[in-house]
Amino acid sequence: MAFGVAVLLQLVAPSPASAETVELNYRFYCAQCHGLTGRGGGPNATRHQPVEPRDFTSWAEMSILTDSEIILAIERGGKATAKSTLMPPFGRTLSGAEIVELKDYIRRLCKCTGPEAP
Amino acid sequence: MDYSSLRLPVLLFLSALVILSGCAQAPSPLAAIDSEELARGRAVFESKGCGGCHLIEPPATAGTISDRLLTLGPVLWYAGSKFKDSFLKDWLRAPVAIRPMEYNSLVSRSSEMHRRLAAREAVAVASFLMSLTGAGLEAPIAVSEVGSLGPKLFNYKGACYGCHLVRTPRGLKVGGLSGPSLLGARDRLRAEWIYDYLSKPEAYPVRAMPNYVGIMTDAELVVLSAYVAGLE
Repeated sequence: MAFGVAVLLQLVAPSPASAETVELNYRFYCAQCHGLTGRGGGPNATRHQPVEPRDFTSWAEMSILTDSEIILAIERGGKATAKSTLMPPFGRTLSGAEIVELKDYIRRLCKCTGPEAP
Repeated sequence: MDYSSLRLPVLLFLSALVILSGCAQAPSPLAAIDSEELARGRAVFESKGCGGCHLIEPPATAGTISDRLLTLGPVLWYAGSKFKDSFLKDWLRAPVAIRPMEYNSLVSRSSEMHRRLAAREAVAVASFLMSLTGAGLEAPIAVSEVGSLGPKLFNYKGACYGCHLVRTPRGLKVGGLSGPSLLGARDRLRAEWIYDYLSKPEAYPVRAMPNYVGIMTDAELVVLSAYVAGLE
């Protein structure tokens, strides 16, 4: 799993931004859709959107996702994991390290691990 | 030879010389009006305290997220590159919220309480703001036609409506609220600035929008810019 994550992160282009704290990155980039608490109720979760943003606090939703899938979705957008294109790609905005930090942050929100964990 | 017949042409020629030399020295009356208008616009801008929310000088760096979250309103140091002149004059007289959410807020909707200016003040401030061309734009982008690629880029590859309000072909307002609304973008934004903003993110303050350079080709960014600039 770690090897797969490492391979994925090699594909992330260097981010022009200096590294921010994971809390600030989540607040600035992710909470617009996923909400400040991660429950999916950000200001972009409007009535006519075709899908709802994922609820990161849901064990049912998050425990079926691998770490690689979370990282890939952040880096390349929802389309890369067969999910909605409404999830934009942040691979040119965030560094590989920042994306991994966000993955860990999201895991803390659900207090869960993915299916590959022992 | 009778030189008296030459008097009138010579007189006319000499008169023309006098007039032309005078024109070369005197400042253009139009330039004088523009300078006065700019000065008046700047004075109104400062007396109303607009600089308390809107930066009109480009920062040294793109800044951090913390820097951005401390700002109170959109920066205006590239307003003249971004906006159409006709838009600013009208908007300053009757402001309507462009951002559905309060600036930097994810929980509070915009209160639509932006200061209104009187007609003459609005014209003057608009002139001043249009002189702020901090973004050194290149020649206007040339797009022969947007075709079907524009909506595809907007709706799928960029999923721009995820954060920006737009109007569907049937007139329904859809989209996210975290970014500036794109309703009426064609009356507000210049296509070449949109392209500059999309293609040179490092030239602008840090923003919550993903960087699409390297995700979309340059040709795609051109088409997307033209498409956004045509949104009603």
